[in-house]
Amino acid sequence: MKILSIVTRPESAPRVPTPEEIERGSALISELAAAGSLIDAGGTWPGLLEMRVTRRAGDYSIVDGPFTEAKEVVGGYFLIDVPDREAAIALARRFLDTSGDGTFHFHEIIEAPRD
Amino acid sequence: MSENVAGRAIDAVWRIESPRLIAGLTRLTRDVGVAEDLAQDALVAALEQWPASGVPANPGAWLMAIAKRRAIDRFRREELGERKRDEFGRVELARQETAPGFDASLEDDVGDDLLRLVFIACHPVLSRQARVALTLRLIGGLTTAEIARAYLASEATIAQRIVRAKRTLSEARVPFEMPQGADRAGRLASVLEVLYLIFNEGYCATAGDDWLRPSLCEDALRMSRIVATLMPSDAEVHGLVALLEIQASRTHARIGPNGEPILLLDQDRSRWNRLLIGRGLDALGRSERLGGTLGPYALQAAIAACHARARIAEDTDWMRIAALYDALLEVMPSPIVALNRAVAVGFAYGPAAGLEAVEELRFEKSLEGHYLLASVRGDLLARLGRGAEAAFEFRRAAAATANARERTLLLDRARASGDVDIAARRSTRS
Repeated sequence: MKILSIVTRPESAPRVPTPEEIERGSALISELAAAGSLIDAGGTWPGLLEMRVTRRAGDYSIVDGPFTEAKEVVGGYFLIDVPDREAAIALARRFLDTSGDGTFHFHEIIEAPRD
Repeated sequence: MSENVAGRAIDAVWRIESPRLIAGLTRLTRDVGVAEDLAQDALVAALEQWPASGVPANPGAWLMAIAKRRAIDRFRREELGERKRDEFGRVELARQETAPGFDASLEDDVGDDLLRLVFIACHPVLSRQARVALTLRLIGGLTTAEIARAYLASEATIAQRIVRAKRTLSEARVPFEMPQGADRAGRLASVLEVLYLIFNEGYCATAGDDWLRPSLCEDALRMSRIVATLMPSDAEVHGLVALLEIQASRTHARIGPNGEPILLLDQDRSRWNRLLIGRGLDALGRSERLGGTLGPYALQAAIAACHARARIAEDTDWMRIAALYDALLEVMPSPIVALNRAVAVGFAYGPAAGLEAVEELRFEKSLEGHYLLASVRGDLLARLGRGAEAAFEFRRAAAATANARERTLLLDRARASGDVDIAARRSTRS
């Protein structure tokens, strides 16, 4: 199943990882990419565009970030392809083990039925 | 996968973080080329991990942690000569591996490191072209492709230029330190010149995709502001910033709807950017408050400020401008400055006085065949009512300029002056 995942961190969490954590993280990414479980991933950066475009009762509102009121910050997204729910949980655990507290929000992507 | 992740955000992140990173790594490795490689590796590694970890409040420290790790790996892996090994700073690397406060000490030094890097990139051992390319790359954080586009050169040419420059620095064993004593003034002049050249390349868009080049002005301005922050007690650095800010404030007023140049006195001053003017006047104030005689950049900024302060062209304080040109001529004797002085004199004390100042330059070798001399003479003659002579000078100027739009402008003026002359003759006849 293909899954879209947004990763959030408590605002205070992002910190400079130790060299060991960095090495473990790199190894994990290489492994998952090679195995085909990791389709794509991207980080977000505070200096880049942050914006909310909302339509409510036909009216649009556009709010520019950064959203400092947020309790959590978005770190980035992952697009993964795993066999089942358990594999997704395992993957999240492995990532969080290398990089500290945070939340993986998983959303399975609807795929057209194959015949 | 890594290519995919790296490809998207890399330019933006690189521009923000790379100068300080490369500066710190150059201190560790004593080699700008090695430092840049390590910084790039670190960036790719960091970009891969950011989706999972989020960006820390201090991404520079993260990048530095990765880069140091890579430096150590590389150091161990490669069979380096004993000399190189020493240069690599075995002691330094060993110290940082054990000392927990290393990151903090690195942060303190970061400004100094960046300034040293600026001075290395603008080192006189390099050609002017190489200094410009290396500065844009290392301090401006531009990609090779961006530099190539800005200078209408092929990417291969620029890449080659940067590689050669780094090799030259390495071979010349340029030390990673601030120049001191007698060396300092000359080295600083080179830094300021490089920044000024970059700005001008953007400002005098003579060819190519005009819209791409204002970014060079922004890059030069951005880097100059950084250097000014790092060298707050140097008057000329503030002078350069002031000059660039004020010149940049006119960007939108100096090109007409069809891309034709609009001369300073004809510009719609409501289109001047007041924010940039304000910043420029502030920088000029800082430069003046530091005392001493004003240097060439501060003087040019002071002249630009006279124009910026005048709400309409008629309000221009030409006497002050003429006096500033006198001072500029003392510190930077050049026929072009003298010619500009003549223009100011012509406005301050009348066209006859201006013409007198121009006559002194008639036999100046370097101005021979220069369109500006003929064009200034033409203008003064026209104002004195000597239309035929003026038309002759404008035509001469038109023949000398390489710029098509400028030529049209000059030929128009020649025609206008000639017409005046004919009209004047007619009126005397009747």
